[in-house]
Amino acid sequence: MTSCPQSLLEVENLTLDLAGRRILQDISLTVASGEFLGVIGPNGGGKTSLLRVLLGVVPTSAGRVRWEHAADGGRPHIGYVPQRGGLDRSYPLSTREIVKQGRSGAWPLFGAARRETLTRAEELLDRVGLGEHQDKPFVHLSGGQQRRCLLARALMDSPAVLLLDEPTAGVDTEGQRQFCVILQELSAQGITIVLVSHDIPLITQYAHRIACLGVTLHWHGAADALEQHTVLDAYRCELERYQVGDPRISSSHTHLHGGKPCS
Amino acid sequence: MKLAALDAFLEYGFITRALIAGLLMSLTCGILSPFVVLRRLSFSADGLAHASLGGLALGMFLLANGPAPSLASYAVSFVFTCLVAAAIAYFSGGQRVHSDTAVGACYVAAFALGILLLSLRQRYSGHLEHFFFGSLLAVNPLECWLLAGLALLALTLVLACWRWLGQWTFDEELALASGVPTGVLRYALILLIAATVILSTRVVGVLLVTAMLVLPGAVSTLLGRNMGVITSLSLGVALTSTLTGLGISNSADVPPGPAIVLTAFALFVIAYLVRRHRDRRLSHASLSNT
Repeated sequence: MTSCPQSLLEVENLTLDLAGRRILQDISLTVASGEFLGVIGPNGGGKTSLLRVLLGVVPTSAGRVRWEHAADGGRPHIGYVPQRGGLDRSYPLSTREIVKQGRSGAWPLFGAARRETLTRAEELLDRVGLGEHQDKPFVHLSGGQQRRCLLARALMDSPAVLLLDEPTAGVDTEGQRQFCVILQELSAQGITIVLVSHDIPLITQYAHRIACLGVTLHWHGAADALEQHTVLDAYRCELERYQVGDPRISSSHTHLHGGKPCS
Repeated sequence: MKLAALDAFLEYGFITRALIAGLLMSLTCGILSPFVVLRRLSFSADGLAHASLGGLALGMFLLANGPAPSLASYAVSFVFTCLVAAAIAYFSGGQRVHSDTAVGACYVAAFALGILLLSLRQRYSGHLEHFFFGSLLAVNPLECWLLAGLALLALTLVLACWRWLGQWTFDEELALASGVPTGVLRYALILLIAATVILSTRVVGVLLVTAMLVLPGAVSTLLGRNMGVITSLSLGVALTSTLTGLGISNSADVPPGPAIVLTAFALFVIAYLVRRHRDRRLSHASLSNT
């Protein structure tokens, strides 16, 4: 694989085995700096595992992941928005405290660093539309608000790359739109975005390129070149395309299930 | 209590040591308690507390000449309790047994071993009550130094890893992705809990030490909204419970361990009622706004 000059991420022949099961096989793709990549694919297709490999949390079984232009020769600073499971309803920390946790480092912050962190957290909460909810416990926010709070948390250290794992799952239409508009703005500012989602009509509206993953890389190309038969092969179901703001975009239309991984 | 009376009270060395030991135990438990509660390690702490009886009995069975544990017997007990923690991690790590089941299975075995060993040494069996409910007034200078070292270690570790610990309590995977050494934090916390339950046995006993690792954190997480407030409140609750409990113990001539724990529980009930009132008020305000 040859690297294009502005590529930020190169994945070469990546294979991942976990607990004796093949999760990813021979994945090769590049992501340019500032690009918005949407990753789609059926359940069990390896989308979340790909993010975990990119985060460095899971080691590859074969192949390699190479980050270009990383300051320390390793990887650039990465912001991560995870798939949310059920957080204990008694978890006490406020929304603002969760965002402040995005500042890296172990030691307590004092003086100017503490004030700067607080100001940055409040700015980011305003940016994602949660300024008035910053004193509320995080667990009292709605699902969509929690995802936006986690996005603000991921932005605390001004990352070069954002990895997002199904951040619009279970979020209403307006919440999905708001979230994707923020991502589009971040991408325009030069932040590279890798977004995993089942929401194909939505993701094709906002992402520059799409990678369709089903253990192997089924398809990789420009979002507007994604064809019906590609998705049909991957998911065994129909692709519906809608325009941004189309009221028909709802979870009932856009959540695609099942299908066998493409061979 | 008037100052002169307090002076007279503190003239007795064993009472001063009891006070110092109680406050040092409160300091350690108050610092660790929010992380035990937020990481849902209450049952693990309870299990380790019970397992420590096996370690203490083994240490005394092998090494001690009298009823009071020596430094070597504390070391044996610490290693034994750590082995029980490792066994729990081993059984629950393979996804074949749930961690709660592993804790339940391992701690009763260690506890049973402790009772068995104590029963073999007839002269120690009479001291079972001291293990269970503590013997604060019998604390010796060595135990005070060990408790001071443990409190310093806990304070240093929590301060050095302050923001990592906050991230870890929220979401382990997210913390790991952010570069937080979650495995190191988990083992460090488990080792600190093991050392705390062993050294606190003399203060409140193995049956009650869990309460001091859980109740201060339970109170503070009911009322606090950030880690600084939560940890400060937890420390305050632990110290207040110990001082009040010791005062009640002295004035009403009751054992100090149960008095300390019941004071902490009373604070928990008050905190719960305050939180319930606050939640209802917020709920009413929210409804009236809509």
